[in-house]
Amino acid sequence: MEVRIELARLAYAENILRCTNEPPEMVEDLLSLDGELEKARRWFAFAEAKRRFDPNIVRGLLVYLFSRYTSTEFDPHKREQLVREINAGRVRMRDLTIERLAGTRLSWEHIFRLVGYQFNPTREKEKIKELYLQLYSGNGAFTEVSYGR
Amino acid sequence: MDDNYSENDLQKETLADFTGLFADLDKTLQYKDHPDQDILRAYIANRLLDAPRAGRVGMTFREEQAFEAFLQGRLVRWTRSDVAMHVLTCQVCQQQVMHLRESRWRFLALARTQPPREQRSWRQRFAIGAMAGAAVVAVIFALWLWPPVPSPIDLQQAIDGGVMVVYRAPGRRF
Repeated sequence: MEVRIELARLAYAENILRCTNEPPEMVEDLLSLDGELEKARRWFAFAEAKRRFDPNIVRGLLVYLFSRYTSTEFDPHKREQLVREINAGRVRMRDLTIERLAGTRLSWEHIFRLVGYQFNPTREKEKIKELYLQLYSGNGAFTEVSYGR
Repeated sequence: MDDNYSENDLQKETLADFTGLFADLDKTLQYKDHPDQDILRAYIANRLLDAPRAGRVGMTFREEQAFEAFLQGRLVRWTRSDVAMHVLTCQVCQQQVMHLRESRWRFLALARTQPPREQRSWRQRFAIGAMAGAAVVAVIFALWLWPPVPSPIDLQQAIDGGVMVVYRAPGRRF
């Protein structure tokens, strides 16, 4: 059961990448059925960051994360195929799934190509971490977040 | 680190702070149901939707029943995320997807390397045009030679006292 909830959280993260995700407050209960609310909230921070900051950069960070950490096994053949598609401009972020990215270990150069421009990944990462602290401010309570534009 | 970061700084950044999000994921699961070949083909070709019935947002997180089915691995309608998560954790389907992807890649690579169709020379184009013109003229001439079909004579009209005019046509045409 725990692994399946973990997968559900990952599916939600994939939806963030493809911009098909539900607002966090609507899925918080479902994605924390195993009691791992913290893990769910980390993904929610990405969903909120996509709303507040440059969405393509947040999606680029997700692509990097999925390609690096979803699988511990490196698949050079899969990587070669994907990199060829990225370099030829035949793949967009909305076409990608976690399964397709798993084990490909993309570099920042590939991410920049997918996003369409360069950005500072360290700064963007820090922004997301700050946002997480701001949203869930230590006591675990979900502070006021407006999802309306 | 500002916007003018060095290549070295860039290579050092691996977003390691977020690795905890992927703990316990690198394992395979046992499933009773698997997506069939058509669904896997659609998935590979990016033709599988995130939600067949619910617009852009996935059904999995919209209905409790759909979420329960997702958790139990019993899916009636496979969305793109469902297939992605299934393949990620199912060795049988991983093999299938790998083979299907390979064959698709070979097909696309072959199609992309096909030489463009050879352009016809002006002589060939002139000959084709002349033949088409001759064919049109021949059809028109054949229609002109075709004997006219006489229109039926309304005898009842003549019996009733109407005027009946009979024209005499020459042997071939008027």
